[in-house]
Amino acid sequence: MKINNQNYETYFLSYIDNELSADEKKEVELFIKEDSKYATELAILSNTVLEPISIEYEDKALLYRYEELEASLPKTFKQNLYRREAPIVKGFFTNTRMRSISAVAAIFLLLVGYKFISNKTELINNTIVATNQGARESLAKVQVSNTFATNTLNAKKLNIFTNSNNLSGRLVNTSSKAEVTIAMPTNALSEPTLPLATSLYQQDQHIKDLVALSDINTIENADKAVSALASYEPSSVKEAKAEAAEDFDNINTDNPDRVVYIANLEIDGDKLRGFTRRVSALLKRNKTEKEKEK
Amino acid sequence: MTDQDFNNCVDNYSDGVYRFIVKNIGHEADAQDIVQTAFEKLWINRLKVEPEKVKSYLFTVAYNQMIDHIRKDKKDITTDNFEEVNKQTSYQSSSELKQILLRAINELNPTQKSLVLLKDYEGYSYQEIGEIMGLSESQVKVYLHRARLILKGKLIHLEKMSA
Repeated sequence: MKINNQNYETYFLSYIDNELSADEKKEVELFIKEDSKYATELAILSNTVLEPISIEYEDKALLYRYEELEASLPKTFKQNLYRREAPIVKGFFTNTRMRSISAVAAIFLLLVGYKFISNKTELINNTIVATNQGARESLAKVQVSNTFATNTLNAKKLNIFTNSNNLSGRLVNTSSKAEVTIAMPTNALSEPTLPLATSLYQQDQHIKDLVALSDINTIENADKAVSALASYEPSSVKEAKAEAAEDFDNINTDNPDRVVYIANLEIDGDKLRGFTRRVSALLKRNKTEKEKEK
Repeated sequence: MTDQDFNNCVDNYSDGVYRFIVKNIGHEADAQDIVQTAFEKLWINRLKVEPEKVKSYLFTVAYNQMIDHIRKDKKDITTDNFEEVNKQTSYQSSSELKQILLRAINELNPTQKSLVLLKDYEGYSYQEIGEIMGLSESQVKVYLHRARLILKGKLIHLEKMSA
């Protein structure tokens, strides 16, 4: 491609940029010789080229590097130095709120435990009361039955008395017969009375014995039997009372030397109080320290 | 590349890289930082960079750093700034024409300015400039020719003004 008045500028620019081959350069030089106008044009374009200037970078020393100063450890050794932070296991009681909750829970359990111990005596007392109530009910039944028996016996006494009166009349006539006839109504009295008593208290061996022992063949013996029945207290009531008297003394809460039992642990009252005092003092101190830190 | 080779590169190329940058951004301290970064990267990659491409590698890194710097700081290189640098370094040409040319170059955009500086100061070919600036050879040619024509127009205008 030849230089002409259309493309000369591109050639000139490439010429001043030193991007033309030796032949192309010669061509350009011939072209400008032919017309001085183009020579001026090339001169103007040549003025756009900056003259190389010298600027020194002063801090070269900062850029220098020396291998011996670049001492580095082998990769395997570096790997030995690696440390991985162990994951932090968050404890159950690390949280302040959890601590206070667990403290409250512990106090609650302590109170419940103490309450349970104090309630145990009350429970037994209640049981005794309940047993006594049951016994009283049974006793009331006995008394009712006794009343019935007494009434029956009174009626029989009346009959005996009447019979005796009748017999006394007869006795005047035949004394030998009189003994037999007196014996008769007495036997007649004892026969219906004994089964009645036994049938009423057959569940209680004591009553049975009592009735059996009392030879109710006279009016006096019958009265004794009735009074014995009236004053009878069932054995279950006796046993419950005895048990309560033996095992469960009332706890004197005013006694400073009392011993508190929690499950199988024996805790001295004073020591427990001292322990709780220390714990509360410790908690208070921690709290004040935290407040100071804040 | 040994440390000796690297230090030779420092001696041979640091001035050119610094001149290219300081003429572009007109700020000496920033230019020094960019040069330092460029040589730091060369040291890190000294085993990867081929010895014959060290110079263009340094200019490429420095040019990219400069573009980042211009984008970040958005510093407009004013005429005063440029002139100040020239005065400080006392390499200014005595000719009035050169003064006018420096002022005209300062009015070019960073790409055109870089093209002119790389061509005139460093004597790089279109191809090499393209590698440094991430442009094709034909792009470099077109852009550089356009920059030259702008400079020519400015020179004629400023000469008329001064005359």
